Amino acid sequence: MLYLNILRFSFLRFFSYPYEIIATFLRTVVEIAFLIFFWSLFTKNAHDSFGVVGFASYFLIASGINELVMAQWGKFAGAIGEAIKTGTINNYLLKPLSVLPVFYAIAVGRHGVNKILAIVTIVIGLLLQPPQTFQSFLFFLFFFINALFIAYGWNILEGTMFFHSADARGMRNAVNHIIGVFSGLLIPISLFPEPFKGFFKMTPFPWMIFGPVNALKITDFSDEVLGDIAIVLFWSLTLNIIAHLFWSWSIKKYEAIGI
Amino acid sequence: MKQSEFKLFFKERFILLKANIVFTFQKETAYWADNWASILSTVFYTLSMLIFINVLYTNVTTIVGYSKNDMLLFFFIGQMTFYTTWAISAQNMQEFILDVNRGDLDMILTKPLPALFYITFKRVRIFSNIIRDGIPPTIAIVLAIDWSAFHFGFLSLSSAIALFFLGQICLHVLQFVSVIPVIWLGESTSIFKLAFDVESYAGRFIPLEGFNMYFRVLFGAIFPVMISTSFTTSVLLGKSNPITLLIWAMIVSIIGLIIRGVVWRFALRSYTSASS
Repeated sequence: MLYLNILRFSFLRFFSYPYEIIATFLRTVVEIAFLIFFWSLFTKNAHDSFGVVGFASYFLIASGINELVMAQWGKFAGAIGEAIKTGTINNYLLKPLSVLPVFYAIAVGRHGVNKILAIVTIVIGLLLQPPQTFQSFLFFLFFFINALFIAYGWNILEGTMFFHSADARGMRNAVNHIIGVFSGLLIPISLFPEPFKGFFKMTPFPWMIFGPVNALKITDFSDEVLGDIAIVLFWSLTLNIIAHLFWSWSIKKYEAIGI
Repeated sequence: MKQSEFKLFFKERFILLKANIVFTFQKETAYWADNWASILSTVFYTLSMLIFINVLYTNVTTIVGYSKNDMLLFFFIGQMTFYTTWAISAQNMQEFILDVNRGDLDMILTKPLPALFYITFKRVRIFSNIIRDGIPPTIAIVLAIDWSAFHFGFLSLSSAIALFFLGQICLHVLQFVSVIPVIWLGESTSIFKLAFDVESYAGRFIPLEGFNMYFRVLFGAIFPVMISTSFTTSVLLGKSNPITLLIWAMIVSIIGLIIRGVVWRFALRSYTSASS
């Protein structure tokens, strides 16, 4: 209940500036519109035509998933990093609550409008190109839930870096540029040349965004799908264990400024 | 204007600009650790975009008539545009929002200096944004381009340079107009970010030839984000008439500067001080 209240309060604060809400909404529209427009130009020359509708559906769903799971430029990691840099984390560490869920609630609440818009874009994307079968939709849900876990763990890792380095913001920027390309947010992983595609699928990045979107095309348990499921479960579990261990270790080392 | 007043006009601004450049350099080099992280960030961005372009062109031979080499040139010009505007204008405009909210604008307005000029060139980040952040990753792009495939004539090269700088003026005007609502609304960060996103996508992501005439007027004149990168690249590649685009850019820049002056004066009349 506490964390829901934090989420709600963070969400309502944003409404102090209604023009900011409109601008935030327009930013998402601009980003998706230009991505779809760019890929429509690409399809005019592509050897294998994905189709404009295919690309539009892909980027609508991908950008929605990115916002919901907080993959690239994760607001959850940003909230942790900001609190560490400014020292406001001390306020939360003193209180009898779990710090990570607080930051998660703050991140979700502050960007609540974006989250609502993300759901809308996913729905539009699904309407443009619906899942092939009901099983495809179940695969989508499975990969989406795992994407949430993977991105959650990754955000904790990113945010915890701020305990250890004054350069953490720059390092975070560097990593997020990589995520933009290798998560499938900027370009579908299926367009990568074969050997590289196999390599990147072993990393956690594609499973934050490309995994759920691609799952809409899955219709049965082929060997490839079983392999993908194994990889995604591995990263969901491993990344969160590593992230929480790293967080616990960093908190023990943390020296606060002040009394 | 008398000759002495004319000299004083430029001398005042020159002294202010020199002081801003020196102070900015001292501030940027105070914490060297920040520098490595920043270089890492820009290098990774450039590498990820080079990978993106390479992956794109494994699937196609041209996009809107641009070969891979042409697209790399477009990316190169786009990066030059970004680092230049980020060093000279964009961050100063973001700071203007903070200046208004914290009341620092009062301090600027009460001082006997040209306030608009000062706000525009408050920090000139030549070292951090151009030398430190811009040069290392740009070298990677320069090495990726096959320069022997291009044949730049004197007219196209000189027009391209002029277009680049006129485009920077237009970008600054757009950024200024996007932050000035802070005077009335109390906040305009998202409006600024919206303008920056439009510039990123319409100006540096899709070449001029990808747009029809209506969008060229929209993003070349009304929201002039295309001049610095798209116009410049198109002229260099010989895809557009340099004189036509140069005249277009000059008209848009002049109108833009007039609008900036008018908006500033109007904003000052509406400005109520943050202090008591």
